[in-house]
Amino acid sequence: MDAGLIAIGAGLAVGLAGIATGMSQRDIGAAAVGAMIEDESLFGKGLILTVIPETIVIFGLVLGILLFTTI
Amino acid sequence: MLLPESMSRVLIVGNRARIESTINALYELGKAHLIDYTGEADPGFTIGKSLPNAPLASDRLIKLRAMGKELGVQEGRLSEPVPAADIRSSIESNAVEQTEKEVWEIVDARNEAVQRISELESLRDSLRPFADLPLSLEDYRGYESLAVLVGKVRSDPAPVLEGMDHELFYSSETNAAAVFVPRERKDEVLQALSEAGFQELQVPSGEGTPAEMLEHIDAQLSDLYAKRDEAEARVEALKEEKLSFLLASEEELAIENDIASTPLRVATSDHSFAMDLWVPTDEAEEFREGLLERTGEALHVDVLETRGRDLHDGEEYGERFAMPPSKSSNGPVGKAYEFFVSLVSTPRYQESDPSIMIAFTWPLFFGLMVGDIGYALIFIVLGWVVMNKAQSPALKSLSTQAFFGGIWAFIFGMFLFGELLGMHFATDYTSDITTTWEAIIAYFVTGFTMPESLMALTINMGKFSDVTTFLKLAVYLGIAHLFFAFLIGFLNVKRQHGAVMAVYEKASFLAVLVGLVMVAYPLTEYLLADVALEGALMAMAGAGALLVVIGGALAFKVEGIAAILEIPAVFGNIMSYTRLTAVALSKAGIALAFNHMAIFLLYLGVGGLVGIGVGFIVFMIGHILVFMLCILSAGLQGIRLHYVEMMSKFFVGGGTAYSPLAINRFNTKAMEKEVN
Repeated sequence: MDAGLIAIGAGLAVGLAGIATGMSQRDIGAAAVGAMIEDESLFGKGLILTVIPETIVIFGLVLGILLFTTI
Repeated sequence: MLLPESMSRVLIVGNRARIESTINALYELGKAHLIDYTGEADPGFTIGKSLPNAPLASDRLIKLRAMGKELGVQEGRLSEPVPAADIRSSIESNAVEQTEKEVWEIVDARNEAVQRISELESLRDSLRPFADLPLSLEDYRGYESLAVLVGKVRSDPAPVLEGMDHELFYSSETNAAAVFVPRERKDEVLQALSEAGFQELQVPSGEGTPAEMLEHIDAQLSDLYAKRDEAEARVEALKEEKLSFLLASEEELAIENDIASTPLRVATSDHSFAMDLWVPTDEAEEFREGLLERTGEALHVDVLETRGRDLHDGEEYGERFAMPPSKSSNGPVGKAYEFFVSLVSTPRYQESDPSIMIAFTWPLFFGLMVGDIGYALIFIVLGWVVMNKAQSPALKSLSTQAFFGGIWAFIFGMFLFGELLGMHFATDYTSDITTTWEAIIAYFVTGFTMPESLMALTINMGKFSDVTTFLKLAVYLGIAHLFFAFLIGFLNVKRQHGAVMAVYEKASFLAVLVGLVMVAYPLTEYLLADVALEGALMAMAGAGALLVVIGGALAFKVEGIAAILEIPAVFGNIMSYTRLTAVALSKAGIALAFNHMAIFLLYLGVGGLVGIGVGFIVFMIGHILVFMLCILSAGLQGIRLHYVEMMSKFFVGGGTAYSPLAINRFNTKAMEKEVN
């Protein structure tokens, strides 16, 4: 297949997944910071909740890499 | 090793007259975690009264803390602790009260100056817009038929007021305007003025021209500034002088106050008292004997029970005795990692403490992500120095992680990647000569090649050229990590609820994990490497699918439909470990980009002295940036894998930390009789 198209596909996989992760982390992160201001001991729990959506971009990245290696 | 130390419950009953000596003995022994008496309906018992010295001690403590706050004393450690006996005798001779008088005299002088300054400054600010208008303050008031509109405008208001009956004073410098109009026309003029962006200001009270007043205020202010600076210098000097007294007496009084208010946590009746304590089982007998010896055998001390790890143990004793405190049994390194667990929660008495596992695998993950000798050495040195100097637990824990992470980064950087500051020592898989140390040194030293002995040490795996191998490595690490996490979970549930429950809850997911791996391996071979799905591979996939079904069914039995939803999450957890590769690649990529730039400046494109100089600067800045990224991304992503992927498999948390009644001195030295 066209190497250029594969590269564009890989880029979209990483980029769109990154945007999706960012959108979900924005809301969770804001809430977590709010909670931490009330009670600093919530840092660990806030961090855990904030990083959960990162899995989305990791999936995107793995797909991106797998696609890229086929060029 | 993984479980908190075993605890025994001890009951002390004694004559009420002996409560003070008992409490003192408990603080000396430093082993007893007191279970607060909550005033339950035990007939005849109520919460005790604090010792007679409590009011004075707490009163002095409040005074000291107020003084410390005014003087800006930070909590800290004295380099030379004060003998407790000295500080005690000076407290008893009213040193706190005397110091208070001295401190407030100086602090009051400063505070007064500061307040007067802020008043005058706000008056000055309100006068300033009027300074350029040729009117005295009394000119603005006292008219019967005139309205005075004073304020700020955006531009000269004369054009918008044209055709209206008015008198205008305007300063183009401060954009202040004063408009005198007939009272009945006020609203009309205001509307017109709003087009010029008019914002009304209050005319300050007082008499005389604003310019004169400002001059007067400035003179007063410069006096006050000098006064304030002088007072502040005196406050600083006083703080220097009193620092050791303030810190030491605060500590001494806090200890006294703690001891004196302990009876508030104890059940007392008219003639007796009763205390419930948790004591580490290993030390319970020694504790009993020590306590009896110190109090002259006049107490009844009974070791009532040794609590097991089953959650149903001790149910008959009620809520108050349900959860013993968790005293970690970790060594010094494990201790450093307890901080990271405490950010989430304190482990319960009945569950494994994840600190040890974090201490093993976080540095390993961190090292794999950094994977570079150059950064490794900085982490090792920095970690070692801070680890030995830091006093705060957070800094100590972080530096310990930097140190061990650095060691792993060195191991991976040396033996797996053969990389130093983003460049391989030498290379055998790419013709790109600009990105190896061998090529750089060869530019200056003709005919240079890396010693064979060095190259023999390293596998020299390329992060970019071998990315699939790297991805697989990360996934395998993840599978092993999750396997151990479920295993610990299994042991936890087995301890807490018995083996049957452990099989349903955790062995089920162990089967799912193994099954998923057995399905995924042949599938990836088939999809990515075009290996035919037959024979052993097919059998493996079939067995794996069977394991997933069995595991899912077991989990379904206790957790219902939620268990089925959990199965894809296990797959997600495994894939999550590919972030190890992702972070390593991004870090290596940025380093590579800077190296290309620096090398281009150094000798490929620019060259010469300028090239060497600028190239070196680019090199430094680039690698400092990458180093920062290492801390942020590798550190954070590493701990995240533990918090989210690992700990969720076995850790519940919500325990109470073991905090025995004990005297902890930092800024004072113990008196003779306190030394155990």
